[in-house]
Amino acid sequence: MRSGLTLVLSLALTGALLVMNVALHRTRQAAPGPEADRKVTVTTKRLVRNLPPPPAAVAPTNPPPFHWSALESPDYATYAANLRAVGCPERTLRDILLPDIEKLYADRKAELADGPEDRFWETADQRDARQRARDARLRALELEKRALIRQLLGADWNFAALKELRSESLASGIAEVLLGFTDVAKTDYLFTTHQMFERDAQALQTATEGILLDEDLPKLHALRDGFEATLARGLAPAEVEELRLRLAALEGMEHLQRRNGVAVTGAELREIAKLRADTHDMLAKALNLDDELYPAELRAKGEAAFAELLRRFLGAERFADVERAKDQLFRELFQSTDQQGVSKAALVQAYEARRAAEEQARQVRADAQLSTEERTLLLAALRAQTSQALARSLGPVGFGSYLKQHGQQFTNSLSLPVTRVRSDLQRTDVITVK
Amino acid sequence: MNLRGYILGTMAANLALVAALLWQGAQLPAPGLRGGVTVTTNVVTEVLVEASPRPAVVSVPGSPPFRWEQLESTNHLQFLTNLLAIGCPPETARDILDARVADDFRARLRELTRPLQARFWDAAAENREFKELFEEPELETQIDALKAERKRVSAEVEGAAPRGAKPAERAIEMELRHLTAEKEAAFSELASRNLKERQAVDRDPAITSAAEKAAKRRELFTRHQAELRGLLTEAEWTERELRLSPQANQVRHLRGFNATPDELRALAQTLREFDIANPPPARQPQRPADDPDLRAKQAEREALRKAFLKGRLGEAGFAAVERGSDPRFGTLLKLARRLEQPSETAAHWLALQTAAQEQARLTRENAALAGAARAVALLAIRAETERTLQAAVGPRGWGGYLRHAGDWLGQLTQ
Repeated sequence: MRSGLTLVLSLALTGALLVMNVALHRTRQAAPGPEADRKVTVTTKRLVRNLPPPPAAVAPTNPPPFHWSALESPDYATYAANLRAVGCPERTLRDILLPDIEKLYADRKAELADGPEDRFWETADQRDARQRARDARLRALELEKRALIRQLLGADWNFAALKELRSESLASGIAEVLLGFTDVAKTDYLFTTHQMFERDAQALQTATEGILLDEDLPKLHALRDGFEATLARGLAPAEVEELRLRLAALEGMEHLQRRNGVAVTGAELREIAKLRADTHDMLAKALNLDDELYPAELRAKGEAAFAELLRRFLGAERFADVERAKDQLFRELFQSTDQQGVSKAALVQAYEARRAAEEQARQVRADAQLSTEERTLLLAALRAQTSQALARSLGPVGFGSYLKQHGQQFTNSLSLPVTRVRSDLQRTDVITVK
Repeated sequence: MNLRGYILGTMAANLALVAALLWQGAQLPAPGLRGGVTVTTNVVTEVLVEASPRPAVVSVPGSPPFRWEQLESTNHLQFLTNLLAIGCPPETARDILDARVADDFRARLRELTRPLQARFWDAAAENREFKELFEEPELETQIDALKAERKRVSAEVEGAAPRGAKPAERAIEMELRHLTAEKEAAFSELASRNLKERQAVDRDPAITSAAEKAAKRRELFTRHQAELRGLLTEAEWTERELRLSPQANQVRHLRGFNATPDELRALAQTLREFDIANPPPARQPQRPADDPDLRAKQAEREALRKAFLKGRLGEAGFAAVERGSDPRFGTLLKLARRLEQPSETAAHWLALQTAAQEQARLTRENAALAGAARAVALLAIRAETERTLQAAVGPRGWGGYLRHAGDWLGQLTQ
C-alpha cells in the first residue's frame, strides 16, 4: 500500500520536472542573441524643498489645539524662527523679544551690583576702582545684548528708547514735535539710533573717567560720523536735513521769535536755521560731543560766522533786534509792554537805561573800597534814577505794566544780595509813577 | 517487474530531469549583463522654492496649521484674549499689547498733528515756546480724547492680564551695614515707621500754629531717637553716629589716599574730635557777609585745625589729607591713571600748579610793581609754568591736561 503511494508521488514529480525542462528550453530558445552596443541614459529628479520634513507621525484625525509652548524655546533664535514660521509680523516679534531680552540682561546686570558686605570704610580710590570694573562689565553686557538683538531682529533696536517714546513723558512729547515730519516707524528708528550713539558716547566718557586724551578724539569723530551714516541709512536726505534744521531751531535760536521783538516769518526762520546748522555741528551737539570734538576757538569761530551770515540775511536793523532779544532784560521789557503801545524807539531807550544800570550795579557790588552801607546807598540811588529813566521812556502805563510783571527782579538786580529777611525792615524802593 | 523496480526507475528519471533543469538554467544569460547596453544614470537635484521665506523650525500643529492671523484682531482686548487662549504667558501678552496700544495711539496722534507739522516753521516763528507749538484748543481737545481712550484701553488690558507686582527690593543703607541682618531690618523698619509718623504730624490740619508744630516735632524726634537707640548697643550706636557724620563723608572722599578701614575710621574720629571741640564761628545775622571779625576767627580756627592735625597725623599724613580733599587733585589723578602714571606724578603736577598760582598771587599783590611790569611778570610766570608742566605731563597727556585741568593757566595772567 505504501509502495503504491510512493510510486504515484515519484511519477508526479517526474511529470513536473519534465514540464519545467520543456518550459526552460523554450525560454532559452526565445532569448535574444548578441547585439551591437547601445547606450541608455536614465535621468532621476531629486526634489529638495526648503520646508522642514513632514512629521514622522501621521496627523491625528482630531489634532490637539495649538499651544504657545509649541513656539517657545530657551534659544532665542529658535523662538524667533518659530514665531516667523507661523506668520508673526516683524513688529510684533520685536515687541515680544525686546522686553524678554531686556529682562534677561537686567537680571544679569543686577548680579553685578554690590552685595551686602560692609564696605563703608573703603577709600575713594578703592570704591572708584570697583566702580570702573563694574562699568566695564556692564558695558560688555550691553554690547552683548546689542549683538543678540541685531542677530535676531536684523537691526539695533533698543527697548528703553521705544519705551520712552511710547510713554507720555516730556521727552516723548518733544520727540513728537521734533520728529513729527516722519512716520512713527522712522521716529522709532531715529530715536533708537540717537539713544544708541548717545550711550556709546557716554560709555567712552565713563571708560576714560571723563578725561579725554588726544588719542581719544578720532574715536569720538568716528562715533559722530557713524551717527550720521546710520541716520542716512534709515531716512531720506531731505529728512536728515529737516532734522538738522529742527535741532538748530531748538538750540541757540530760542530768542528768534516775534514774542521777543524779532519779526521773522516761518520761511525766514527755516533759512536762519540752515545758516546755523551750516556753521555748527548739530549732530555732534545732539550727542553732547560738541565741546569735546571742537576746541573753544573753533566753536567761537562758528558762532561768529553764524552772526555774520545772519546780519547779512536780516539786514542791520533786524539783526540789532536779534541781538537785543538775546538779553533777558530786553525780553522782559518787550513782553510786558507789548500790548501797551510803546514805540520801538522808546523800548530800545528803556532797555539801554536798564542795561547800563545793571552794569553800574555790578561795579558797585564788586568795589572792595566801599563799605556795605555805602554800597546800599549807591544802589538805592541807582534804582531811583533807573526807575525815572524807564518811566520816561515807557510812559506810566508801560512802566506800570513792567513793574507789575518784573518789579521784584528789577529791585533785586539793583540791590545787595539779601542775606536775612526781617519783616520790620522790609520796604520797597520802587517808586510808583502816577 | 515488481513495484519496487518501478519506483527505482522513476526516481532515476527524476534525478536525470533535475540535472537537465540545472544545466539549462546555467545556460541562460545574466539579466544585468546583456550584451552591448551601457546604462548611465543622471541624478538631477531640483530645489523647489516654496512660498514660505523663513526656515521653519517647528512643524506647526493644528489642521490646518496654526497661523498668527488667527489671533489678530483690531480690537485690542479681543487680541489679548486670543493670545491668552493659546497659552501665551500673560507677561508676554502684556508686552505685545502695551506696545500695540501705545503705537496705535502714537500713529493716531501723528495723524492729528500732521497739519500742524506742515506749519512747523510758521508756528516756531510766532509767539510760542517750542513745547507750546501744538497748543491749539481744538487740537488739544482731540488729543485729550485720544489720551482718555488710551487710558481706558490700557485699563481694560490691565484688567484682563494684570502685570505681577515686582518683589520689593530693599536697599541696605551703607551706614547700617555694621549691624547684623536682623538688627538692620528692625532698625530700618522702625526708622520707616518714625518717618511716617513725622509726615503725619506735618500734614495734621489740627496743628495750626508753627510753634505747636515745632514742639510736636521736637517731642517726636526725642522719642524716635530713644527708640532707635534702644535697638542698638552703645558701640553700634556710636559707629552709626560716626558714619553719618560729615567727617566720615570727608574721609571717604579723599582721593589718592591709601588707608585701611581702621585707619580711615580713626581719621574720621580725629576730624570729628576737633570739630566738636572747635565749632566753626557762626556769622552774626546783622553783620555783612564779608565781616572782618568773622574772617579773623575763621583764620584762627583754620590755623588751630592744621596744628592739631599735623600733631595727630604728622606732616606727611596731614599733606595727604589736604591734597586728597583738593578737587584739582582728583582730576589730575584721573589723568595720571589714563597715562598709566602713579599717583605721585599727579601730586607733582599739583605741586607745580600750587607754586605757580602762589607766585602769581604774590606778583599781583606786589605794590612795588607798575601795571605793565606786573603784566610782564605774570606772562613770564605763565610761560615758565607751561614749559615745566608740559615737560612733566609729556606729549601724550598735554592736550588732555589743557582740556580738563588747564583753565588755571589762562587765569595766571589775569
